[in-house]
Amino acid sequence: MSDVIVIGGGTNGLVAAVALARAGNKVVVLEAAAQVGGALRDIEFLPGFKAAPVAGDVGWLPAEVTRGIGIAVTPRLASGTVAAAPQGGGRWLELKAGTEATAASLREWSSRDAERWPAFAERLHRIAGFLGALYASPAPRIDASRLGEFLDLARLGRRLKGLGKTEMVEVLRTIPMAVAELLDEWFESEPLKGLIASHAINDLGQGPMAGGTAFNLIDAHVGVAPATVRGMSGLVAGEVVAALTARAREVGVEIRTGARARQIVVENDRVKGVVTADGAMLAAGDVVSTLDPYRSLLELVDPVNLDPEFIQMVRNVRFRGVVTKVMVALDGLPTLPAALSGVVAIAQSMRYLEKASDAVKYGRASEDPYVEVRFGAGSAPAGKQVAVLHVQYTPYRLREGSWDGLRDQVADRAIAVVNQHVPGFADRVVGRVALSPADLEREFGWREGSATQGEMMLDQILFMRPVAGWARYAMPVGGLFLAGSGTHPGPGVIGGSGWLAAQAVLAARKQKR
Amino acid sequence: MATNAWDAIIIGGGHNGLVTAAYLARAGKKTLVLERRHLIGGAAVSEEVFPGFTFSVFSYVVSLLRPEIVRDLELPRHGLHILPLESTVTPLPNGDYLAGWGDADLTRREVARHSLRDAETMVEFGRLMHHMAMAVKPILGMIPPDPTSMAPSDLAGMLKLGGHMRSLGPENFHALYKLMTMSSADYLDEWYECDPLKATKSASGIIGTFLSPRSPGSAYVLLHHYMGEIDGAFRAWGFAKGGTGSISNAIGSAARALGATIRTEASVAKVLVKAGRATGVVLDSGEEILAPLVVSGLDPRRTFLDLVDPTQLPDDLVTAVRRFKFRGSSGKVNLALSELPSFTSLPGVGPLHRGAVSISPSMEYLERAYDDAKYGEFSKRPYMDIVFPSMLDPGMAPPGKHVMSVFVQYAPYHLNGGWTDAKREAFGDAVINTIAEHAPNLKAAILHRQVLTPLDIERMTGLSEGNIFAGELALQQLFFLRPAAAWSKYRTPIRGYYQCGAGTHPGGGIMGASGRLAALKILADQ
Repeated sequence: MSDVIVIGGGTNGLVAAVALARAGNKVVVLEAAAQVGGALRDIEFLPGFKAAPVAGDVGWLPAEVTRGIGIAVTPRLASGTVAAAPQGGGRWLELKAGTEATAASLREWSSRDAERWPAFAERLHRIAGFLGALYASPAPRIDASRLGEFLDLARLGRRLKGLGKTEMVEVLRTIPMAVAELLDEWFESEPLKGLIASHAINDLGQGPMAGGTAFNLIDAHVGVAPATVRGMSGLVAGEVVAALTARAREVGVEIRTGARARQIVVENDRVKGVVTADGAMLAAGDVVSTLDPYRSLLELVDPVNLDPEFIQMVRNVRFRGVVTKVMVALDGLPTLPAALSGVVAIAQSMRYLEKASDAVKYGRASEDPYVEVRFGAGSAPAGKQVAVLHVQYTPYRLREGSWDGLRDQVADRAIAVVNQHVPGFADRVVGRVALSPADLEREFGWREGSATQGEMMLDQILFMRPVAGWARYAMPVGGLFLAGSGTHPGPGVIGGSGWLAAQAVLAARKQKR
Repeated sequence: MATNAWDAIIIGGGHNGLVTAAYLARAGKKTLVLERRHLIGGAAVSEEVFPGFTFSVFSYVVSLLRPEIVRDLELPRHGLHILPLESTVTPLPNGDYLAGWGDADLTRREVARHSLRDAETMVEFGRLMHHMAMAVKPILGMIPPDPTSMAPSDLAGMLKLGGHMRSLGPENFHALYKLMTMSSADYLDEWYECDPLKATKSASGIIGTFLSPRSPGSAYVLLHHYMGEIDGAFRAWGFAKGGTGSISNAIGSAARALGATIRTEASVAKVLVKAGRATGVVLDSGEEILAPLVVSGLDPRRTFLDLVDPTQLPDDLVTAVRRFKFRGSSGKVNLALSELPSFTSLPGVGPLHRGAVSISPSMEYLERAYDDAKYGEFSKRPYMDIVFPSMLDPGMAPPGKHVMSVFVQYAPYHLNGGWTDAKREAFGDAVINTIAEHAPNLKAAILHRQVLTPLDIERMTGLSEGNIFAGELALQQLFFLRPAAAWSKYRTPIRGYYQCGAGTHPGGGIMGASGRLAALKILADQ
């Protein structure tokens, strides 16, 4: 019998396992796939061509986590062009690492926007810094009734006030806004607004004109190098997974791959263990699931153990995946900006993105989708290249037909759209494999193909994640905890949920003793 | 020649300005209201647009008028008479309809015809909305504290607000939080399955905003429109006898009885400011009228950028007002009819004509209406809320004839290529053609039509961009951010110059709350 079983060997699972094992617990990690790493793991999609289809940006690894579990992963410093959008005629709008460099590159498009750039970048990062502080601790309870919880609230208030009056107002004012409104306040250049807005709507079923998308822009900048906008954390997926795996072995975590959890066994309102797909019963004192809230609570746990109102809340969690990933094998690169280190975004204006999003409302895949291309996203045989296309909006729920009939059409269309803006791209393509939202659900266990275990919208974040009243990782069944990105702080923070959940498990185990 | 006989001047005789005037007069202030038009009421006016046919030209229903105002100003004694609008009928393309009637049991039976589950759900939903409305009502009557301020009065206000929130209990607090942050579509999806029911309820969430029912933030406006629904009725809207102008007239009459003076056709050009202090106003005619207190009932753009010199204001405030969103999104079509329209789904003249008819057959219908607007066109097939005031008050039309009021969404102020006479007529045609699909006799029954675009609304009422709420009711423009942080408490940076219009908290609808809270603030400052 183990002390704790962790379901899912993604980053949250590994971080939770290490934190628990370091505190002296016997921990087993169950991973359904052949390798750990979850969303960050590479797959060989064509002979010799490997990519992590779903690891767009690896995410932010907070110091609390690296310190807490004792690992060190060094991010690559952002350099050159972090995001570029083709504008026709071989011209590119480029966002650079460094505020001054970006402002200089924007001058070509709008001198007014270039002038405003430094203030925008600084404000965005200040507000993101505030959000980052919130992400490093459990979600504040604002329905507080006990004294200790009041202190959380007071701390939140201080952090907020530490920003200064103008930023404080900006935080409260900006969060519910549409990113389109926010960017219209700052800039005039449509290509610039399109390129920035595309970062806010990533993985959302909404377009940039929808309320709350300004929050997503801020969220996307938590943990990103201060002088870059639309940049990345600079972490390499493989290195993060390798460091976590090595650390897990060091502290005695048992990792079982190819072990799919079928049921979380509950007796007398308390977990007893986990039954795996091969029928084995593994007993444990506590169970930590990093799967999404729906899978964890309504499929692995027998619902008779849960309150009907709680079940209803879990049912209401919205997933709604909208992204198709196309992994492309190339025999060379098309002409790209010289110092490109980041992504190419097909997002020439906010209107283009908004139009693309309309398809979701009517259950269709967008004909002119938002496409983000990550060149060199994996490994390839000598002389060859890999690119991963993030194709949005292609909803999981289609009004007509099925994804089996649509997958290839969407992939071909995405390649054609990229080729339209990056001439010569299609000629370089020697093979491709597309993963529709339905495929992502089947192969990665992502409900409705959603990478986020629950849309990052204002009513599904902080103390509302995964559901209201249950944001502190412990679930209504004794010994059951959630630790996936369906809990606070959610996607984009490597191990953030796993780390905080482990603290909740440790506190509960201490209390039990 | 300047006169100095006044304690207070109110700019604009809209209903909020009149409320402020009445409260100031009641406190013994010699108060003068200056109204640009020939009649008072602002967007709440009744006008005989065509001989014998009287219309509530703009705002046409009432549900939020604060009861304390009705009581304090004894409005019934001054002619206020609200008639209940009892029902909402949504005609459906398949020839059927969905109705909400005044009688709750009848409504449940009607909904059960479409969905048994929804008929059950609506009892619980109604109960929750009741709680939510009760939770929000005290906030509407509160001068909003600024959570970013350390001033003792703000801290005390936040404590009071915090206490109120805690008193709701976690469940209601979470429900309220969801209502504040979700889209009306997602919110209703958690409760209902019947598409026309969701669409009709969602529609009230988009009124007067430039949001789609799928945009987060639209659920809150849903509540705003539910606030009148505290006795469990489907949608307890009321209609003032004589049109909404009679509400303004009742408040005006109360103000006069309390000693206020109202001057019409007196358009204020500028507020006079000396050494950072308001000293009076100057009219378009050049006439100067002095008073130590000047209160603007106009929207924030006019209050801060037109009436005073913005260079005398702090940059933060000017920036905030410049980016305050108006974006009028609705129009109005007023029709004089020889006979009532007969709806295919409920033919003849019947109870539906005593309530509202909602053209909101499905969520997709609303979405498509929004799609037109967000790309700069008016909706070819818009959402419409239709009432027949002459059925409730026969005095509105000649005997045997009728008036019909059509609220239309979406009609963007910023239309591609701008509004022209031809576009206005095309917009009117789109409205009438769409209604005629449900009521074929309509076209032949039209004697006269008045089509009002957001641009017309702006020109006639002065509301910037024709926004019916004097500024969008979006989350980032509410409470202590309405109209701008640090200036949400009815004061302005100019001493003696105050704001009392719907562009301040809580704003929107014929509520009078902004006007009353402004008056209380002014009197407290004296």
